[in-house]
Amino acid sequence: MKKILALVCSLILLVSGVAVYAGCSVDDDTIVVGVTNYPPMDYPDESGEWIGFDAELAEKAFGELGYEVEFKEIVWETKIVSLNSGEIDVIWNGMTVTEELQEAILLSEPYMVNQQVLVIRTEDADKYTSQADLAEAGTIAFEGGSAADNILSEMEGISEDQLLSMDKQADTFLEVKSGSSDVAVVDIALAKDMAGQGDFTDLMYVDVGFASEDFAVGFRKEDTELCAQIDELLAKYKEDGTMDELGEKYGVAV
Amino acid sequence: MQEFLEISLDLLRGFGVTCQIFAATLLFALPLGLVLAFGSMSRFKPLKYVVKVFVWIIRGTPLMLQILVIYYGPALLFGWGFLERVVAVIVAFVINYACYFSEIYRGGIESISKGQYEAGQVLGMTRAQIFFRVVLLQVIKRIVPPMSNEIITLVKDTSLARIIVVEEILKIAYDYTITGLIWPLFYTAVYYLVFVGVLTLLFGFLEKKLNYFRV
Repeated sequence: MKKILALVCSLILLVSGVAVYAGCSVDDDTIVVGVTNYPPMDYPDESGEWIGFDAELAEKAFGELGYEVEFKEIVWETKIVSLNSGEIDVIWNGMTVTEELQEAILLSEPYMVNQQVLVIRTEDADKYTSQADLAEAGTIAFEGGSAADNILSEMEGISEDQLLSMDKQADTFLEVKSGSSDVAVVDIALAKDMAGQGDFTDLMYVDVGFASEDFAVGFRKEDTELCAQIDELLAKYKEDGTMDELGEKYGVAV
Repeated sequence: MQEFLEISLDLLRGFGVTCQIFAATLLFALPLGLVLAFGSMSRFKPLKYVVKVFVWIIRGTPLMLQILVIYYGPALLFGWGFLERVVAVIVAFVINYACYFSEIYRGGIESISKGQYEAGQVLGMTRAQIFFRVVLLQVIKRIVPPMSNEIITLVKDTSLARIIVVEEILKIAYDYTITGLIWPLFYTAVYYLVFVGVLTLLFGFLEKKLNYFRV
């Protein structure tokens, strides 16, 4: 009996050991960039190549530093695991800066300003015009761990029962379209790209004046040098108009 | 129409990955399950308990978690690299399904009466001969219904591969919702239904074939 107990205990230890991150850093010539299907920042084109505002920016910046870039699709909730386990080397996917992220990983200087907006059915246009109207909504869908999550959990007048935390921002559109949720709170760039398109023609987005937030690139804590190099390049791209060009190409306000 | 064909083909590509996971899992899990079944019935006590604890752990934790552990575990714990995503999924599925299969095998083997073993011994057959010539076919006949259940579940469990971004059919269909198309998601049901339909017919045929064998 004791032996079995010992075996069980050691197995539990082994599993919890997953939480201990093995340290590793970028050393070869290929940078693996962690992305998700998140138009217009990162998304695959018809031939499966990753394109988008962030994808092109990453390719340009790392190319200038002499690295090959490889894009790898990841699951957004486990992005920190992917980064620290060495599956990917950086996260460059319209990532909003939060306190939790600042503690967990190394972040570049913000390169873009983002804002959360409401996505609703067009017939509800009169119903949701301000932040206060959210209190009247049945269910509010958003991505777990996203900036919207932070905003909603700190907002007054909203009860826990109204909140629906989902896997991906893009999933919330199906929720609202089907009527299962009344409102989705997502990034403005995604809302602009998806609302009104294809099967989502009956959806629209509303800016209700949520505070703006910053997008940044994520690195492992030990890759300080690489982070500094990218910061320098991003500052340069902002000045020489590269950012504006890309922003125009993908319909993103820089 | 053009779009329908294109998306059908794209989904079919994803279903190919689904079938790959399915076939590889069966190929390895069916024999491995038999090995585990013998282990759990072993008269060598330590082996028996190790196998039993193993089966308990695998059946007692979610398959989704096992996929994550197999994919991320080696890199996080020991700094080893990564398996190919689809390989990691197959390893997780093989281990998981082998444990379920082993219990079905065990049930089947233990349902054969002792008298048949004794009769075999009286006739001078070895233990291996008794198992392969007398017991096994009867076991196969008895475990076809529970096995078919498990195998049909396997077809649909493959959708769990999405958790480590394997491009199986459901993942591809979900990605279409991002471009504003919802119907491909529900259309995937057709693929699963057809495949499971074929399997069901196959198992029916197998049962009939084994029917001559009255016990």
